[in-house]
Amino acid sequence: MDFFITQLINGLKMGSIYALVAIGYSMVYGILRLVNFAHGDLMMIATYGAWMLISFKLPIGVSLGGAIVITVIFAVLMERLAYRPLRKGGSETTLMASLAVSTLLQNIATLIFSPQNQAFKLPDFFSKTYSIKGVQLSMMNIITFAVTIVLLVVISLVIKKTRAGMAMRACSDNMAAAQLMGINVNNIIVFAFSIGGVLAATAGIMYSGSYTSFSPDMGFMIGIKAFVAAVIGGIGSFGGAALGGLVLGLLEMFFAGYLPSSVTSYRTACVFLILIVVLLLKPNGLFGKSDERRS
Amino acid sequence: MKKRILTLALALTMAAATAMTGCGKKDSASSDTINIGTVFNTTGYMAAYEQPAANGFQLAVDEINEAGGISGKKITYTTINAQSDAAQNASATTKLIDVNNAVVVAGVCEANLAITAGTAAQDAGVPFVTVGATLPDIPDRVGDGLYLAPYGDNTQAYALAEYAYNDLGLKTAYVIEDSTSEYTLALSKYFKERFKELGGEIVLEDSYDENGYTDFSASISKVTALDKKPDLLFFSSFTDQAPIMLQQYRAQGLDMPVMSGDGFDSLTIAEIAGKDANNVYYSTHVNLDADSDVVTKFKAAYKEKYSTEPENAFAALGYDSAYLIKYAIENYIDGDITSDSIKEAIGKVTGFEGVTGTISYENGSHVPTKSVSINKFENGEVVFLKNVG
Amino acid sequence: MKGTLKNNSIFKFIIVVLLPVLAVIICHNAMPSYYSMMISLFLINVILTASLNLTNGFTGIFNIGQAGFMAIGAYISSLLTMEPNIKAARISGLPQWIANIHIPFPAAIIIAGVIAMLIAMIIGFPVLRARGDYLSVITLGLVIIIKAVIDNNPQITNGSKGLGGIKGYATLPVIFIVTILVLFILYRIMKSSFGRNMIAIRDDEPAAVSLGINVTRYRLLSFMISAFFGAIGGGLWAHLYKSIAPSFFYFNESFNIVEMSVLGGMATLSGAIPGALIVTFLPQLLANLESGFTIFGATVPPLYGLSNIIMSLIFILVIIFKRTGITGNSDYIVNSMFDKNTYIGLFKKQTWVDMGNIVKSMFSHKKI
Repeated sequence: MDFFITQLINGLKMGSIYALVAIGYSMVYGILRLVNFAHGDLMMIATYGAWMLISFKLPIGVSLGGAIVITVIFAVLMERLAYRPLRKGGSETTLMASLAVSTLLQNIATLIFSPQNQAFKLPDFFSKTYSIKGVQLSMMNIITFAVTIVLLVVISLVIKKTRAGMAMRACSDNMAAAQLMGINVNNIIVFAFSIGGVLAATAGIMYSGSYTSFSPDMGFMIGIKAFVAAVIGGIGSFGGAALGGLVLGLLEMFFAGYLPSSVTSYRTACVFLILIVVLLLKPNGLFGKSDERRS
Repeated sequence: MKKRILTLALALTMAAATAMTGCGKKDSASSDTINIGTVFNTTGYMAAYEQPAANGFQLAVDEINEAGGISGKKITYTTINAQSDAAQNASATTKLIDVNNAVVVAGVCEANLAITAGTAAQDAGVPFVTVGATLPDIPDRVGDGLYLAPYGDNTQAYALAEYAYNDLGLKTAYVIEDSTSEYTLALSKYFKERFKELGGEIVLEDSYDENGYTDFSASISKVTALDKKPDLLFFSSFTDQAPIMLQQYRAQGLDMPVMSGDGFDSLTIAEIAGKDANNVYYSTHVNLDADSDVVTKFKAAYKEKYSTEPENAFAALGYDSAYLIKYAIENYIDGDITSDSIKEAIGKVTGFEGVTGTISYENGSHVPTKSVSINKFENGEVVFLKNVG
Repeated sequence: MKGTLKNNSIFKFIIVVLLPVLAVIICHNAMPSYYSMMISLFLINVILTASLNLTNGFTGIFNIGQAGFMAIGAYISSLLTMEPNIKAARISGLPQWIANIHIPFPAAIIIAGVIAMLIAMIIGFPVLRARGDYLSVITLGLVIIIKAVIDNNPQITNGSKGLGGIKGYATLPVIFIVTILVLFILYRIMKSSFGRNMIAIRDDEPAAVSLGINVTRYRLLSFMISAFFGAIGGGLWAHLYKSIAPSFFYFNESFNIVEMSVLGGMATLSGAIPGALIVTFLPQLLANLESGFTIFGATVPPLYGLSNIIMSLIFILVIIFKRTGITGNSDYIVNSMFDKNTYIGLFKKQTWVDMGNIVKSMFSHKKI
């Protein structure tokens, strides 16, 4: 039972990270039909940002806030410089452009810093652990859950209640119609990238915080898995992306926990097998809407 | 339309022309220099290991040239970044040989890439010294021109098993390996082999794939679920995962000794993992804290040139590889310095004192007999324990 | 139209036939093996890219996992051509019946291609129903799955230790001939009714459906053909470099192929040629910038990763300013190569007269 609960906690933690990244993916994809492979690298930017600001001896709150701001700037720049000029092109070219942006960011980080893994130290407060009936729960886990829940609530309110949020949903449903209604699509896209940036930055900091080390290529694989999570959940759907993230995190952990070691080395491969199976059964993902409505 | 096609045609013609101008071999090396080439994967997934190795090699070349060269001949040195890409490792090696007329090529710290590069050198009849790949059967798979500068994984894994069983008195072990790398697989294989031979017991084996693998909780739960905890945790993994693994295993109350190979030789691990890195034993190529002259001199020179301490043992291995070539040429070649004579000379090397220990190629083996240093992390510092072999 | 330079058979012949053949002959005989190795790699890249263009450019599948089929081709063909005793010695636990197989290289790469084709069929059947971008991510997953299978079955593949001791059958002339054959087959496919239907699907899917074209069937077939040639490319790769490992056919390789395809222009077979040319050779030139150099006495330290940065920038800029890639929609190179008029034209008097006029007008500075 302890083993089960431990796996559950681990799965939820991993799932929270996937969920935060997946929501950003999903929002951008929902509007632009762009698989932004560089989205995961925003996690890396946030971590390097936070690490630099912390090394300048700034207070921890300021450092983390600053890192989020830096990441949002990068996210918006990415859209403005690489994706906007390509918006009229096919989704294939933008997909490739995002791969190139990803390579670019990783190599710049390698060039400026170094390819070596570096230590990411948060104050001691974050590394406390509590033992409840034999199950270990770390402060970082608690923070990850709390922050994820708070962010999910806040973002869903923003999307549901604010004008910008409504405009975003309108764009996602039918971009042409939204444009005709006088919505400034460019602003909405920047808005989506910014929210995506905030979520990815938070996920990146929490991820590096709990694993305490980071390197230039840390974001790529998580990014791809988060996209898988978004697709499993049903892309374009906010709740779907969040749930998809959690489902993927849990499945991965139970897979690694309950199966013999000869199979566990298929863990990453298994993520994609799950994707294929889900798409076979439900082509729009578990909670997704049909794409037919979109013109 | 027309313009585009013309441009295209022009580009093609130019490409063909460029290809043709490269035609014809350049003059062979002038006799007062020695052409040495290296292939290092300074970007891509091997960057963390091979940047230091490249730096070490460059440092040694600069020192040698400043001190008058090899047998009075200056080194003409060319290095190429092969970007952790297999095809580029082969073509870079061929380029060094064909275009830069290298008589000996060195570099590469990953076995599969070393085999690809080494095969290209072998085909051209040029010796290849792998700076950091430790898979002991590389020479068998490539041919008579390939030499290892470091010891083989069997040597270090045997030394570890013996140290664990005999010196530390640990009888049961848990082994987890990265299943995607020939290095980690060889390390765990040889460790298990020796540990069982000695009478030890492997209580649990596990594996993971390296793709962004940062969460070991599932594997850890399997260990904590064991009725009788193992005496030793053996992590067959790379530097990247090391601190993550240490922290996560320790956090679940598994504070028995941890052991690993030269992948753990990086002070960053202790830096990141902090107190969780205590009680961690690893084998490595060099004890960088030793007081010996070679080591202090190397560390000082490295620090001066790159304004950082040597990042890991690969810096020292790169440095040693250059001096190994010098040593072989100066001591075992009487006549012309050619690829053939260097190939033979390296095989004869005995008693070359490098930063990473004494290198001798005995009984025709292309894997050197070398001592293994066993080190330990203690409160963020490296503590040297013993030299084996 | 008739009298322009680009339509002149002599010009076409020189550019697309004579120069490449000469380059290959000269490289193979007179030059250091570095150049023949690079040109071999370039040609293999042409095969991989052209085969990818078949799916990516013509059917709306955006496959970014071609390296997976390359891996299948490399492994299967190598296992088939290796000497039984070497195989048995290298791979512990290899079943005897596999060890005993020893067949000639051409047959081996064709078998490898056919197996890749069957695998593509099995995978493609369920997967190709997914929509565009999902499919891309699945094909990326395919690379991961194939690598995991190779890694975890060491009794057949030797696992992550890789396979060495492969015979170097793929020499430059062999690769050149295979490349021409592959391009020719793809050209014939594109010119057939099959190819025309595919183009119809690409240009207007609803219209194609209304004409009774079975879109899924065409997608599946093109995916299979693409896998076949991808595996041929992988087989050649293995027999050129003589050692393979699962990590060689992973993301980097996969993305490289797509990069070549997009850069050269996905919508044409010809695009494979400039795309492969740039991605194969440009990094070689840029690498010189990385190793650190001295200008006017000032030493620039090594800038590791600079060539990757420049390559990605070039890539982004090219697709921003020329979305359809370098060749756009013009299949000039491949068309001229295989159009019989190019060769017939050489023996027509008019062609030589035209060429004479063109040359004259060039020297008189008049517009052609």
